[in-house]
Order: sequence, then structure tokens, then C-alpha cells
Amino acid sequence: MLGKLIKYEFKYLFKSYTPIYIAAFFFVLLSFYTINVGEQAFNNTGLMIVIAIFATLLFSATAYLSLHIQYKRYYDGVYGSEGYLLNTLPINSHQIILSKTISFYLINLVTFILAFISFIVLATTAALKYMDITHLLNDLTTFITTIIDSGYLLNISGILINTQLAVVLWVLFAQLIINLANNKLFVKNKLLYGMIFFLVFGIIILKLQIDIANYFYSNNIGYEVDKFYYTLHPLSDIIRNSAVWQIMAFDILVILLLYFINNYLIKNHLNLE
Amino acid sequence: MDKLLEIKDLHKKYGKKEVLKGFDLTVDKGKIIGLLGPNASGKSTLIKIINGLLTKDSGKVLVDGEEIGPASKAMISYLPEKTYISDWMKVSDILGYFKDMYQDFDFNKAVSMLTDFGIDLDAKVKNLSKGTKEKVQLSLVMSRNAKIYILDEPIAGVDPAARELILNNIIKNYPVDSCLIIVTHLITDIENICDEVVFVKDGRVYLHDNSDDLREKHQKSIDQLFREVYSC
Repeated sequence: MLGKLIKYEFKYLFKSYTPIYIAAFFFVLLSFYTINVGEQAFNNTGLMIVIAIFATLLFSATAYLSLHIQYKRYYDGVYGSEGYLLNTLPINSHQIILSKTISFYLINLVTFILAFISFIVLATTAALKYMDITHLLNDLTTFITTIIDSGYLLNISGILINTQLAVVLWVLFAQLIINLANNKLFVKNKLLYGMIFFLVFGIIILKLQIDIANYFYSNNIGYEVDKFYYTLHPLSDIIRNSAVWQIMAFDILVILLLYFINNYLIKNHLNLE
Repeated sequence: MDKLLEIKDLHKKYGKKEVLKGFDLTVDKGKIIGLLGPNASGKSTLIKIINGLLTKDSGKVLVDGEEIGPASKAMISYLPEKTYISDWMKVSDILGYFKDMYQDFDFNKAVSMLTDFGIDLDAKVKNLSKGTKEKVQLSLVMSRNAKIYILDEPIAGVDPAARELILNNIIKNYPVDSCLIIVTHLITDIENICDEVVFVKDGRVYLHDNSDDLREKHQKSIDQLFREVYSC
């Protein structure tokens, strides 16, 4: 049943994301054109402004729509009119939360992969403009060998996992806010309470993440660092630092906590007035 | 067990306002029940608790002996007053969704009912009128082989000409060993199909009796009796 729920949820999300993907596709085409024209295009101020505006709009719209689509989908699906169907299906609260979280995570992953592929294709096209394919492949092989030989492959994997955990954490956190705002704990001013909870708990989680990262990072390198040193530190230093595993443990702990609170609220305090 | 639905001393508050004040009701299989009452009498709250859309404060609700949960939900086919089908789907997608989600869903029966209503399976839900959406929902709900059917205002959004067609479809499609609870304000339209009626007043059962016995005892139609009880 969980698989079927995810299938329908993902289908909806993919359909909602289609306009974003189409816009991104046109952006890639425009970038292709610019790269192929070469210096002539880069000297064309008008074209550069169009590309800059397009890129800004695309990234802002993607960020906003991603949040909007996901929040709206959760609200409509659980507490809106569609909640009358979802909450009367022969499923339990775990399946509701898991189906929403997994499908939201998957759509984020698909979007990331598409963006990544577009970037690689564009970067390769640009590189090939100025160097031959053998040179490019040699550079790529050297890059991959350097990463493998560095001995930090495990840490790099850990960092990648942490970025994925961060997505799951914030999806669950958004669900918590909607659950609290629509819970019978609050009879009036649901939106206001929702915003207050979002701000208060959002700041607490962020603060804890930064503090814990800083704490382990300082301990591992053996000297004190600034409060935001971890977040501002060069990627190469972060890769060399094993704090990544402690940060992962913290994220998993928060994910589990959010998951069980969400489950408790949906199971025991569902309130479709 | 003949009791399909058993409710004992059910209480529910919204904030400080108590909506259900010790509600008791037993429904046997094979019965069509009219659940009647004015606005804010507690009918919708009761229906939502039975369907697991609201949590009760105290009391007992058993569906064929099961507490409210996935097992009870598998036995209830519920038609809410709201439109719950997703606008982004086609009618055929919704049929697929029900087939995937409910083991007791009869796909062919649903297609047949939708055809009777003249609804195109390839139509997009967002292009359907409110009345047509309600007919789609009714077809889906009545195409399940459930133990309990709960229909909240099934004929409120349709024109009088379509009401008879809908009621006939309901009667024709519900299995005899199940029970059917109809919540409505349109008492005249449904009083002839109800075996029993339940009058809900101030969060409690005010009256629960056999429809024929009530008519005979009071020498009035159920609609007239309703107006008298609620002083309309």
C-alpha cells in the first residue's frame, strides 16, 4: 500500500514540477546557444542581461514553487478536502507520513539530478569549446583519481548523505508545522501559530545544527573556531574532517524525533473540522 | 454478529463547546438509517469520528467489533459532503486509485454506474461541475463491497430530477448484508427508503425508531415529525 501511495503522490508532484522543468530546459537551450556562439555572445550585453534575469527568475521560482507545491500538497492531502479521502483509506499514520516524506524527497532528488545533469552537459560543452576530448577525459580521470587517492572518499560520501538527510529533515519539519497549525491544540489563529512555530523551532534546529557542527569540528581540529566557522570553512577542510559523522548522527536523531511527533499528532489528534 | 456499528457514551468537544454529549447508537446489518438533525446538532462530528477524521474525547466506537483504525476504515465506504477527488486526475485515474487502495472495490460496477450517470471516463475532474463530481464520488463509494456505507448529504448538490436516479442507484448498489447511513436535510426525498430514523438533538440521540412505526404512532410523515421536533 505504501508503494501505491508514493506512486500517486509522486505523480502529482512530478506533474506540478513540469512547468519548472520546461523553464529549466529553455534555460539550458539558451545557455547552449551562448556557449556555442562563444565570445561574440559574451560581449553582447543585452543577451547577458537576459540570461542573468532568466537564471535569477528560474532559481527563485524553483525555490519558491518547490516550497509552495510541497507545503500545499501536504496541507491539501492531509487537512484539506483531499484529506477526506486519504484519512479514510485503510492505512495507518506511518504510511501517510512515509508516503509524503519519501515522495517529497524523491521529487527533490529528481530535480537535483536533472539540474546536475544539465550542469555537467553545459560544463562539458563549454570545456569542449576550448579543449579537445582527450584532454578533457584526461583531466576528468585525474580529478577522479585525486578524490579516490585522497583517502577521504568515505567523508565525501558522508557529506553527500548529510545533504540528503537535510532534505528529509526539512520536509519533516515543514510537516510538523502544518500538523501543529491544524491540530486541535489550536482552535483559533492556526496560521499565526503555524508561523510562530515555524520561526521558533526553525531557529532552534538551525542553531543546534550549527552549534553541534562547530563543537565537533573544533574538537576534531583541536582549536576553537568562530561560531559560523564551520559553515564558512573551505570545502576541502570540511572533507578532511570527520565531524561529518557526528553531524549525521544529530540529523538522524532530529529526523526520528520529528517523525514520531508527526506520527503522534496525526494518529491521536487528527482534526478535520 | 448483527451489530455493525456500536457507539457508546461518545463525547466530543471543540474547545469549550461540547458537541457530542454522550451519544449512543447501535446499527444492525441490513438496515438503511436516516441520520437527521438540524445544523450544529452533532451529526457531522459523529460521522467524522466514525470515519477516523476526528478523534473522540471519550466513549466507544466499534465498527463490526473493531476500534477506529485501518481495519474499521476498510469496512466503511464514506461519501463526505465535500468533494475529495483530486482535480489533477481524470475520472479513469480516480477509478484506478480506488482499485489500488480498496480491495473490495468493484471496478466494473463503478464503470457501469458512471455510464448510467452519463459521465465520460476520460473527462478531467477539474472540468466537471459540482453535481457531476458528486455523482463520480457516489459511484466510487457505492462500488465498494463495504459493510457500512455512510453518505453525507448525497443528494444535496443535485437537481430534483437527478435525486431519484441517485437514490435508485444507492438502493440498487448496496449489499443487503451491509448497512447504509444517510445524513441529509432533504427528509422528504429519503424518508421512504429508510428502515429506521435517528433524530440527533444537542449532541445526543433524541429519537431512534423504525420509520413505519413512527409514522403509524404519530400519524405523521417523518418530515412533519422532524419539523415538529425541531420546531421549524
